[in-house]
Amino acid sequence: MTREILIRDLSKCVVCDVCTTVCKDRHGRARMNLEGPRFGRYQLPNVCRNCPDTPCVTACRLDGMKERGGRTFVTDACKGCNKCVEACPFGVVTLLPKEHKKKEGFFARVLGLARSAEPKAIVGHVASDASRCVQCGVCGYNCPQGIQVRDYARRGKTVNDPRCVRCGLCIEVCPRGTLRWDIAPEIPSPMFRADKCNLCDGYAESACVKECPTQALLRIPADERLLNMNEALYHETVGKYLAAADDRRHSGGVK
Amino acid sequence: MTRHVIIGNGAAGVTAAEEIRERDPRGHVVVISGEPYPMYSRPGLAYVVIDEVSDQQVIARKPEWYSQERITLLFGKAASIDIAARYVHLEDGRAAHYDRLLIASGARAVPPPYPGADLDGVLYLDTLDSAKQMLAKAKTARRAVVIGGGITAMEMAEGLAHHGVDTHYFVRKNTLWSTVFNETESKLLEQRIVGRGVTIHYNTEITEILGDADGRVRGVRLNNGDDFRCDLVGAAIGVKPQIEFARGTPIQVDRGILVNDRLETTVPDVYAAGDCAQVWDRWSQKHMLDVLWPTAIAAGRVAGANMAGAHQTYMKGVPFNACLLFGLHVTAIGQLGGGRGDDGEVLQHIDRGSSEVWATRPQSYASAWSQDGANTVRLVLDGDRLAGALIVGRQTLADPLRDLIEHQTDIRPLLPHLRAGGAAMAEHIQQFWRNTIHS
Repeated sequence: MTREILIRDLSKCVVCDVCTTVCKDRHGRARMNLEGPRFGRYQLPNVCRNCPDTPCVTACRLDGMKERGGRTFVTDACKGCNKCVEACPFGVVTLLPKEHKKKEGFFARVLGLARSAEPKAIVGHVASDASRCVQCGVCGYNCPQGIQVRDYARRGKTVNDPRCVRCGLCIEVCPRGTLRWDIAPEIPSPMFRADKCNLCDGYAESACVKECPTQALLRIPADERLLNMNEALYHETVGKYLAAADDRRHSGGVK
Repeated sequence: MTRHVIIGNGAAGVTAAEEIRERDPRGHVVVISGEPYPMYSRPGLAYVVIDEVSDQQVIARKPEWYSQERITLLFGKAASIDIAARYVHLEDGRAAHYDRLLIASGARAVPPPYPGADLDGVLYLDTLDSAKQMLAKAKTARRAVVIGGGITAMEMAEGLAHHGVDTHYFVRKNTLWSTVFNETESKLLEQRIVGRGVTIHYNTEITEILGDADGRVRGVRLNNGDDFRCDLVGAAIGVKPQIEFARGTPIQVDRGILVNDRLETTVPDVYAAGDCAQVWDRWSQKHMLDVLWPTAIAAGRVAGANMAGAHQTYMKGVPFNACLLFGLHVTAIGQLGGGRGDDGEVLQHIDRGSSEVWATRPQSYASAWSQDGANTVRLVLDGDRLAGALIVGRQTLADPLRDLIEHQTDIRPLLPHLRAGGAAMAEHIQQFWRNTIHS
């Protein structure tokens, strides 16, 4: 499937903000805003451009960000480690506090209220086994919060740094099995989750495109159709990647 | 005030310094470092060369740590020890007076024993500088040959291949890591290695490294007479304790520095620990070398305590290493009884990250084997005790087996299941471990 991008036709847009409003209604947060570079009649809103080289997917050390059919999206494996946010060249990935929606039946909810039992989220800490640690520092190198996990691990201590977001990345990357959860967290990604536009994955059509009263927002395949509309816009979103791919092909030689 | 001098700034030396500081808050502690860095993680070098960690991050203690702990870090190489006057002389002419001395100078890679070992392009992976050099060379190199039978050689091959160098791994035998692996384990690893684009050449040895007019590597000559073009040679054929400065002194030396169970050398107030020390091994009843990180930490702690006046004995632990080779987890514990020493293994010295104990056989030898796809467990039995285990792939049994081996647990109830082998063996071991250790 070809890659698609969202563009705004400035000759049609009346800046009514319906697009951002419906986006917020659907996703709980407006994943786009109407700033961004202009190319004559068209404009690229600040929203995911589905880069073909997918820096966000490359940056993810888990399976939290995936690419399928020309679009990138956040999966349930995301643990809110911030790597994709740092990697995004356009700053359109954000971390959001993850809500733990607990699905409960009516009776359970009423009974729960009656007992005033708050459902407790059991959150684990990162524990360590000093005898396995070789102080290589891979843990701290990957920590989104810059915690030197190694200094805990070499003493066999549990990471009790208040900055820890419990993303579990250090456990994942440790080459020697030094780190583990002291209590396996019941909710796997306890605090944050990355959020970005995924072109309304799972819905029939993008809310912003569908609801725009003047049909100013367009989902355009990034190919000749875009080139025919506006050459500069095409170059910005497609051309430079093609040039980069060409460069890679011509340099390097053996590699 | 006692003056403690430690030759060596690695795992054993720094751990000893920390231990001394804890027990003797007022004593002088001087650490002599032969390399211009604060203490770094030597096993971490394998992760530096595959870009898992930066060469800055692999430095485990910052200079501030030394000042905080009031440990003097002296950059310089030890040249000789004056036992009578109690001085360590450095190569640059400086000298350090000691009341108690710890030799924890570690081990370094041995150069290949054939012509051409000094050519530009012959690489090792034993110091941070050598890792940096390897990364720099990999940028321009087209083809590399890696030699050596152990972990370090495979880590080098992984690093070179990761940086886009056409990598060829030469193995003397017809299996990988032949001192430890059996055929199945070797095959599992082989799949991973080939999958990363490394070409393995079995039964291949080098007789000479060939150089060009500028003194750079241009190829190697093989034992069948052929020439093989390459511009890098990664050599990891073993390590040798760095103890030249101790030779010619009354300190008794074999391959390493001989120490008793308190880690004292044959000279009073001189101790040795880590890769350079040859420690009495209760399993094989011999003095053995362990070039392992956890061993160095444990020995450093005991040596430090004893230097500060304690009377601790060092019980040489069960050698243990968990490594990640080409994305495959491998844990080796205790004795594994590979095929060492069949033809006077001159080339196969002990490797960085390995133990001589792995390659020895216990008196009565039996083994148990379980395989589940790409995950294998091999056990070495010594009567009704476990002597060793090698776990490849899934690591759920690593901790239980380590416990059972370390505690010398009587495993008679488990024996029928071990004899039966197969996938069910793993479940029985887990169950048994939970019942014995956790009860």
